[in-house]
Formats: sequence, structure tokens, C-alpha cells
Amino acid sequence: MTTSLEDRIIPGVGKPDRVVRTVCSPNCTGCCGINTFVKDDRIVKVEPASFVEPGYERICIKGIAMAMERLHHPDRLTHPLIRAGERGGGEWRRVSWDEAYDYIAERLTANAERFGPESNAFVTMSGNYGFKALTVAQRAANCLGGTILSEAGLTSDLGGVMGALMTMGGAGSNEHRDLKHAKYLLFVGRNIADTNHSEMHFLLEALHAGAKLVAVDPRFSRTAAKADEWVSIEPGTDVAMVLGMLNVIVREELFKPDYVRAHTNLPFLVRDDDGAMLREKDIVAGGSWDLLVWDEATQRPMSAAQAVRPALRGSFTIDTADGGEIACRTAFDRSWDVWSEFTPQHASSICGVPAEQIERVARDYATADPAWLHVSTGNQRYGNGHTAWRAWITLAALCGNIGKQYAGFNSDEGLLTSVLTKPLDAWVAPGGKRGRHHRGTKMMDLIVSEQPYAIKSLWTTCYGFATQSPFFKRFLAEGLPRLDLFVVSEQMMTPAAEYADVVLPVVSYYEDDWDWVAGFQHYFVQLRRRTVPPIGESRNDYDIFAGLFERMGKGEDWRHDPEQLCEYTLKNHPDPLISAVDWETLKREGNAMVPLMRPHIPFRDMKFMTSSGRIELYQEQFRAFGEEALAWKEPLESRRTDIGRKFPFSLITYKHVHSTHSTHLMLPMITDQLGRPGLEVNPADAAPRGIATGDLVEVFNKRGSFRIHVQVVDSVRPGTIAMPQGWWQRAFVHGHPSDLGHIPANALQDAIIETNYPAYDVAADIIRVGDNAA
Amino acid sequence: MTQQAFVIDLKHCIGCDTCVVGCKMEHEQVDGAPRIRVTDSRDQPVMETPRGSYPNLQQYWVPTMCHNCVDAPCVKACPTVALWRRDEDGVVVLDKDKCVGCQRCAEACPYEALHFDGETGTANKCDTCAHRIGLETQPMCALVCPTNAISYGDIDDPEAQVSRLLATREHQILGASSGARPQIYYLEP
Repeated sequence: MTTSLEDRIIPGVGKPDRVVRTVCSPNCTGCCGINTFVKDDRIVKVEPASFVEPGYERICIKGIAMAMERLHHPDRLTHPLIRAGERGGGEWRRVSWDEAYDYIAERLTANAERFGPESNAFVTMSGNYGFKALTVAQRAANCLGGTILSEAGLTSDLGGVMGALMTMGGAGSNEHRDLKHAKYLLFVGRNIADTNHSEMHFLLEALHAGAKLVAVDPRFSRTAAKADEWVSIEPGTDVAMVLGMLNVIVREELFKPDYVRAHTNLPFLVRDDDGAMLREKDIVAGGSWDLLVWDEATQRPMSAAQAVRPALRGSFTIDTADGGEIACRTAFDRSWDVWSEFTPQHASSICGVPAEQIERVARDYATADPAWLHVSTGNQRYGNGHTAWRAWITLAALCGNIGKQYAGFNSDEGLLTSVLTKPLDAWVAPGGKRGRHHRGTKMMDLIVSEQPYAIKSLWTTCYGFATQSPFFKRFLAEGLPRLDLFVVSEQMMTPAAEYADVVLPVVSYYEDDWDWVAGFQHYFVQLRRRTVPPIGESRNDYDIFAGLFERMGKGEDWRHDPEQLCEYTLKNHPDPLISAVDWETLKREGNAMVPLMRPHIPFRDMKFMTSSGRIELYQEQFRAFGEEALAWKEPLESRRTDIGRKFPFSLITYKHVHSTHSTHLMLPMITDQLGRPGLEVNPADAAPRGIATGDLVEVFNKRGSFRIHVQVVDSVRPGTIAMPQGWWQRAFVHGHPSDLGHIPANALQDAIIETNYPAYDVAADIIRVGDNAA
Repeated sequence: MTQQAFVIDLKHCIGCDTCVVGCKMEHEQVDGAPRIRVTDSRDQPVMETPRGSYPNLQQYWVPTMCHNCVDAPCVKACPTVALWRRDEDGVVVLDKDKCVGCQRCAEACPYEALHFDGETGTANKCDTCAHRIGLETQPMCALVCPTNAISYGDIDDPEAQVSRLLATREHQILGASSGARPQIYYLEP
């Protein structure tokens, strides 16, 4: 195979000098294997690489553009830079690594002495899925005793995950290759054709096999274009739609009562007085904490394990040992109090989906077998995003689909979550050294208030801070002036790097060597090998920090052999699926399948990582938030509230086929296809405002504004305006969409893990400011 | 007989433009001009606009390259015999050494598949990745397509993948009225 690839003539180039297999992984979640054709130390071509298992050979426009145009882009950073004028002034001094290190070390040391070591903060996002790249800044922070700002909430992906954690103890996905066996595909906020197009071929197999595809999305996405039915939904109203569906499914008895009895907590008894779940200790002094059900066979309360036939519905008066009485109902009936209000007509008045369509989708989903429900992050980027996934989990559970082959509640498969959440302590905290953790979403408040402690330096890696966070504008105005050091490790002069004190050039993953990659969308672990030498003096993230510590005289923990480190971190990873990967196979093949029980079906044993071991659809611990039963709450900036009436549009900055976040949007291969930033406005909204295609509008709310050209188009629902996300600041004549964003604290989410950045929960208005100009 | 042809599945195509950049990558070192483009169902290359009106919409995408027409207007228009239909596989071949850059072929082509390349001063078009054929691989557009929308092969061979697709799926050619007998077959979206 390798020989034949290397013999392949490339027009105008001839035979490549070598062909190297590596991994493309710019946080699109796909992690495609890439064969890189190299001539004279330049990539002249890439092709999809094979895996140890067939069916995963793929590549896409982004991967091609990345390899062909980003490495040698004119804006590619090649040397360390220290600013030579004002911050953001665009004047730089090219320096040696040692000079850059001395500049940084002097300030880090001074900060540590004056304000404590935690005053030096680090944040890493997911711009590179290599294990080293994802974890090494955390390691550096620990070594310095600095602050690690968490990434989870800033990703805007945490809400749904928390919904799954609360209800099932986690999430996962049936293997996407099994899509072809499903009969009904309900894709909710998962625009697979745009954002997971590497997986799209599995979905197409399902369509050929006769499956029906329904796409729920405020936009007529590429996925909706392939669907049998598009459900156009008001942004952030999934819960209302699901409640309407549950109303139909329960009234028409289309749910699976035996499954609900056996695998959810809905048969448990809930006290009428306080909404807490009834426990044995409530009725017998010294009793256990066991949750109780009403056993219809013996007509008594007892633990679920002992009951012959737990009642799913009903009100019961429970006698206590001391002669008292406790009035209870099942958690199902408590939940039905909410669901029963949401007739399809009522649900429709909120979510904008016609009542008859809610009824039809409910019946179709409940009666199809097997019915595959697939979500992604689009529907959870709202203030109460955790409830969106909780809602769809409730639907899937009532219909008996969780833990079922070719059905399930599906999000992402793969092992990236393990990399992000199961730290290899011996690696990230050498010698037990620990820094402080602080919520990334609270970064601005921490910097500005200096409470509970001061932050004096910030170092970002793998992060498009300026375009992907909602507070870069505020950071420049209020945060940056308080810092004496802002370091950005980057490949290109991004809009965030432009304001740095020191910019450090990072290799792309084609120039890096010896890292392993576990992504989303499949269960292969892959090896990253160098295909071309580093551009200029750029270094990988490990080497950047290692050089600093060496210069500071603290290099003893930073002298790893790259190959040995790669092997060590893989073999010792806390996730047994990862540590079991055979190193020799991985080295030989460039990829290996983890020893997973196949086919992979999440929760196939019907054991859930919750306190009851069941799917917990009733959440007594969230009574204080009014969320013990699945409850509808308006998005923060709903069009149905006062703020919405002032700013009548929901602004969605959606993910799309042409770029992963901001990574690809300065590459000619991409912009040739995508043109300029464009705002989609429905004709019904454009006409009364005198807005036509090509007009320049200002999009604004109380936090900020930007200007953009309009495309009047039916593919976005009235009341919603939408645009592809990731465009850099320089693509706009004024402002940036992120200036309109916000992260108000969500107390319930903070109680679980952390507030999720509600990236799509943005109300705005538009006004025409010009005609079709350049 | 052998007739090499593209079969493009419009049910599969998601309009991601990977074929376009894949083609650029494979041929960029030579001339850089795009030999394949993708338009949407209203013939829009960039600002995609579905058919219909909200919420009853339809959208599909159409990749287009040289149709290797059996009665190719470009061949007839070329004054220097730089273009001809090769008998052994039915591919329309462009010999840039013979091309004088008069652009009559581009005017004659009903599919806008021929372009004038300013760098070489000649015509330019898809050559079905002739340098790849015989290497047990496919044209680059077909290889890189993430949704397997593009197939290339001999439609006179009943065992070929392209033939099996044509035998089982509704399909059509573009611009049948031109009489050029184009050899890209589009499977129904």
C-alpha cells in the first residue's frame, strides 16, 4: 500500500518523497486519518488514510484546506514575537526563544512573588486533539502553582452533557455505522451534513435502506435538505416541543410502561408535602435511604428491588410506623402535572412547530422500531440548555429506546471525553504539584474584580479567544489592562494574538511528532507523526513550555523523550479502553481500535451511573430550581419576553460545512467557496424593514453591534437571523458577532459543574445601514 | 466498447465543495483553475437559496465537471484538433500543446466546463485525473467526497459500480436538448 502511494505521480510535482499517515483533528470532532504526500518538505497533497477497520476512509474540504494552505499561509507565525508598541498596535519585535522566555519568566516570577503563583492563569481550548496539546498547559499551570481556567463551560457544549449526567450519569452514542439499521431517524439540533459530514455516509446508508429522517432545526440546514421532514423550531424551545410530544405519547398510551417501570425513576413515590422522594427512613425509624415504590401486587410501599409490580401512576397514602400518614404520588404523576399542560397546541404556541406536526412526529417516533434519536450541541446553547438534552432523554426513555441497539439517545461516540475529564495525574501534576482551578466562564469577573484573588497574567493555547468567546471585547476594555502579561500560543496572527504581549509560534499537527489522538465520532486511537519539519522556529505546545521551564531553571520535569512520553501517556491513561491500546500496533498501523464491546450500545446493560442506577427523569435535588420534573423555561433572551420584544430576533451563529470555528476561515480554498460573511434573514422579516439581499445591516443588542451583508432567504425561520460562525474580526467592517454574546451565571448549572456559555441565546435587532456595497 | 462516465448521486451530495478543493489540490501544481464546481438547486455557487418558500423548501447540490460528451461541441469547435474524443474509453481529451487559446471550445460547451487558463494561455478542463487511472484509484473528486456521491467508471461494463447505480436508480443528464450526449449521469436527489 505504502509503496503504491509513493509511486503515485502528482501532476506538476512528480513522485512524492514520502507519504506519511497522520491525523486531522481541528475540533471538528471527526479525526480523519490522513495520508500526507510530501515533496521537498512541503505537503503537496493529502488523501484519506485507511484504518484497521474499513469504512472510515474520509477527508473533507477543511482538512484539505488546512494541509494545503494553513501551513504556509502568509500570516503563519514563524518566530516568537514581543510587542514593540502599544497592545494591539501591530508593531512587533522578532526575538529568540530565550528572549521570549526571559520576558515571560520575569513577569511570571514577579507575579508569583507579589500576588501568589495563582495569579498566573492558563486556558486551553480544543483547537488540537493531540493528548499533549490538550493537557500540557494544565501541566505547566500545575508546575507553577498557577490557575487553570476550565474549558468546559466556554465550549458552549456543557449544557447538554450536564443534562445527560443528571439523568443517566453520562452520554454516548450507538456506533454511527449502525445507523443503517434504524427505521426512523430523529436528528435534533444535530446538523450532521454540515458539521459531521465525515459521518454522513452512514446516515445516507440508512436513507437508502428506507429509514425516515426528520431534522429539527430553526434553519433549513444541509441535513434538513436531506430529510423527509423538516421541523422548523423556535430557537431554544426543545423542551416545549418535547413536552407536547410527551403529552401525546402518554395520552395515547404509546409509551413503554414496562420499560419505564424497570429502568426509570418514574415509579418512585414522591411526597406531596415537599416533592422529595419517599425513603424507607421516612416511614420507619432507622430505616434505610432506599427509594420506595407502591407495589400493586402487595398493595404496600417497598423498595423497587422487592416490588412485584411497581405502580406507575396513582396517589397513595403511606402509613408510617409511628402512626402518621404521608401523602405520595408517583414521580410519573408528578411529572404528568407538567406534561399534561403541554397540549400540542400549547407547545406549538411556544416552539412554533405546528400542533399537528408535533403530534405526527410524536406518534412516528413512539411507534417506529428501531427509532434513533440523535442530538448535538445546537439545541443546548441556551440559558437552560441542560434541560434540552434532559427533555429528549425523557422522550427516548419513555419510548424504551435507551440502551437499545439501533435506537438510543445518541450524541457523540469516541474517547475525547475521557481525555478531557480523566486526567493522568502523574503526567499533569508531576510530583503532586497542583495549581488552582477556576471556572473559565467566570474568567472576566475574576480578572476584573480580583476576587477571590488577583490574576495578573493569562496564557492561551489552542483557543480562538477573540472569535469564540463572548467577552473578548470586554477583555480588551477591562481585563487586559489589569494584566501585565498576555501570552498567546498560536499558528497564525489571530485577532487575539494581535493584542498579546508575547506571541509564540506553535506547529500545526502536520509538523508535530509523537502524539496520540482520541477523538469523537469513532473509537480509534491514532498516532500523530511528523510529516514536514516545523515552519520557521515554531514548536509544539510541550516544547514551548519545556523550554520555558528549562530557562527558569526548573526543567527537571520537562525532559521527556517524545516517543517515550507518547507511549507512557497512552499506556498509563486512566481510561482502560485507552491504556489497553497496543502500542506496537499503533506504531505500525498509525491507528488502533480500542477493545470495546462491539457493537457499542451505550447502557446496553441498563445500568446507569446515577444514584438509583436508573434513568432519573425526576430530579428531586433540583426542587429549589423548580426543575424536579422536566420544566419549560424560556431562554434568557426569548422573543416571548420583554427583552425579546425590544430585540425581536434570535441570532444563531451556526456551525457549518466550510470551517471548524475560526480555524479555516482565512484560507483561500474556503473563502473562495463561502464568499463573505452573510446574515440570513427570512423574507417576512426583511420586507417590512426594506432589507434586500446584499444590503448592509447593523445587528445590535445592548451589549454590542456588528455590520454584515444580508441574504434574504427562506431557509431561516421568521424571527430568527442566522450566520455561519467563526469569521475573524477583520472580515467585518464594524464589530463582531461575539460582541453580542454573554454568559450570565446559571445557578443550577454551577451546582452541577459550571454554567454553559449560551452561545445562541442572543436577542438582537437589525437595521439597514447601506445598500449592496463591497 | 468502453464509455467512461461520472455518476453523481444528488441524494448524497451535501454541497460541501470538498470535490472542488480536492481537484484544486490534485491539479493546482499545473494550472490552478477549477475544473469542477458545485452549484445549488437554483444554480447558485455561493449564496445558496433553496427552492420553494418557507417552510416548504427543497435543496440539492450539483457538482459539474467535463461531461465527456459523445458528440462534444467543444471537439467540433476546436480549430486545431486539440480536443478529441478518445475511442478507447470515450473520454474527451485536451492536448494543451496543440491548443492556441482561441476559447471557441469554452463558448461551445453547454456546461461551462472549459475555462481559459491565463497562465498557460490554453484551455483547461477536467481530464478525469488521467494520471490516476490505472493506479487502482479514482479521480480525486471521487476519492475525497466524504459522502461517496461521485463514481467514475465504464458504463458499458455491467459489473461496474456506475452501471449498477444506473440500473437501480432514477437518473438524468443535464441539458439533453443540446444533443451533445453528455456522460455525467445524475441520480435523483
